[in-house]
Amino acid sequence: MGLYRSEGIILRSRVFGEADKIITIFTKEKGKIEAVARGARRPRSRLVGATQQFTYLKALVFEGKGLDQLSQAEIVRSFAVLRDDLIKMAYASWWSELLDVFLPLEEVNSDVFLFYLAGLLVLEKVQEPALVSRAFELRFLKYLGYEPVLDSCARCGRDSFVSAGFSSEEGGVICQRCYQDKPVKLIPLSGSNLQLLKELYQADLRIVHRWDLDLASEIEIGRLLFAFIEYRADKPFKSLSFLQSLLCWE
Amino acid sequence: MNYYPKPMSKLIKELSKLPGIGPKTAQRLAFYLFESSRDEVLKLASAMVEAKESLKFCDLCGHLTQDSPCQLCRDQSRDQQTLCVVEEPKDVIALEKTREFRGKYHVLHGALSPLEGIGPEDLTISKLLQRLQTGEIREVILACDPDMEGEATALYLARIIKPMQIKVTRLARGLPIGGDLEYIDEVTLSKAIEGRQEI
Repeated sequence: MGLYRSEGIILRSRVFGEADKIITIFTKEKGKIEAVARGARRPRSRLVGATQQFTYLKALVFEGKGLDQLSQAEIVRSFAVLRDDLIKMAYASWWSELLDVFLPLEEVNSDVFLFYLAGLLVLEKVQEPALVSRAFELRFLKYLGYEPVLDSCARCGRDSFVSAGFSSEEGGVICQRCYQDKPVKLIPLSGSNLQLLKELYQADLRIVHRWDLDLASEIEIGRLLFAFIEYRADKPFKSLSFLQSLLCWE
Repeated sequence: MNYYPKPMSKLIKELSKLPGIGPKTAQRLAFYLFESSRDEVLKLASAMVEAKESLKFCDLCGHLTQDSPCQLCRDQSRDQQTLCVVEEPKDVIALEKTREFRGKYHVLHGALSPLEGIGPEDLTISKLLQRLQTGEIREVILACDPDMEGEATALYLARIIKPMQIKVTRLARGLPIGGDLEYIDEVTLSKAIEGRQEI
């Protein structure tokens, strides 16, 4: 028990008691932590601004017997732009939930932290975040070890093959022959979009928004990755239905 | 093992279901009630039952009322062209206490929350749009909380109301009265600079 310093980004905050919040912070030094921010819902609290969603803060945390307590906080970057634009807010919420669901508490992962921070900095600036988000999702899956197999058939491993489509169950694209042997539930994926997914792995997050993408392709690769991530998480994501309702993909 | 007689433990159990009441406070309240006069206890019990049975939400604005439409909706002296949208009935009371606003209200009963999965269909947004379609409202004031959920709600509402050719405004954000500038966080301060006014 004692005080520790950490920098991190607020993944989520929940109402707690009369005027408190429980915040989940993804920190560079300690991984994902949860702490109570006492009085943080009172307008005059010193913690009110620093405990807003997506804020990058330097925190002084008191390690308690139960939940840790946020003692002091200083804003490094507020990421206010992400709360002032509905679409960006929806994407940032989706990323937050993604990290919150997949990352266990107190597991240090500074690579993911820096990648997440870089992602938010890009998201803040771009007009069309769809491709940035796809690249973020793919790269995050890779960090987790859930990278979808795109270069070969996920079942038989053959490199040269005719793709039948994408299977969340098999963890990647599967070839026609394997599909005919034992059919599985497939998500449609055209040849050009398969290529696009492969390129997104290598893409620089800062320039990917400049790529041309038609709405049909955006919907196809978006739906594919959302379905694959939900399959891997084994649960639906709340922020995803919000994001999809804004994108009007119906 | 239960150390209390049955009626006492039942009372403690029920009181501890209330928000913010833990087992110790529930125990203290139960003893207080036991030591109070029968009349005091009956007054409290009947106030609770009366509030539960006679209160409902106004069919028009969603505010807490005994009769629907509520007093605020029936009041013809109020500005019929300005509508203030709030998250909770408690916010109507807070705004009424200022005596600054003389228009109508609409209570959403919550706020959009991407992370909690609360979408537009969970709030009274469709009722709000019905009210706006009458053409009587000229300005909608969005008085949502200045947190992420409130921002999401305000941005979403602005997006669907603006095409209806209705003026949409948002409550100003900035410094609290009596606050010390050096303790104000950078987000609030930048909003205050953004919304500065000529004097």
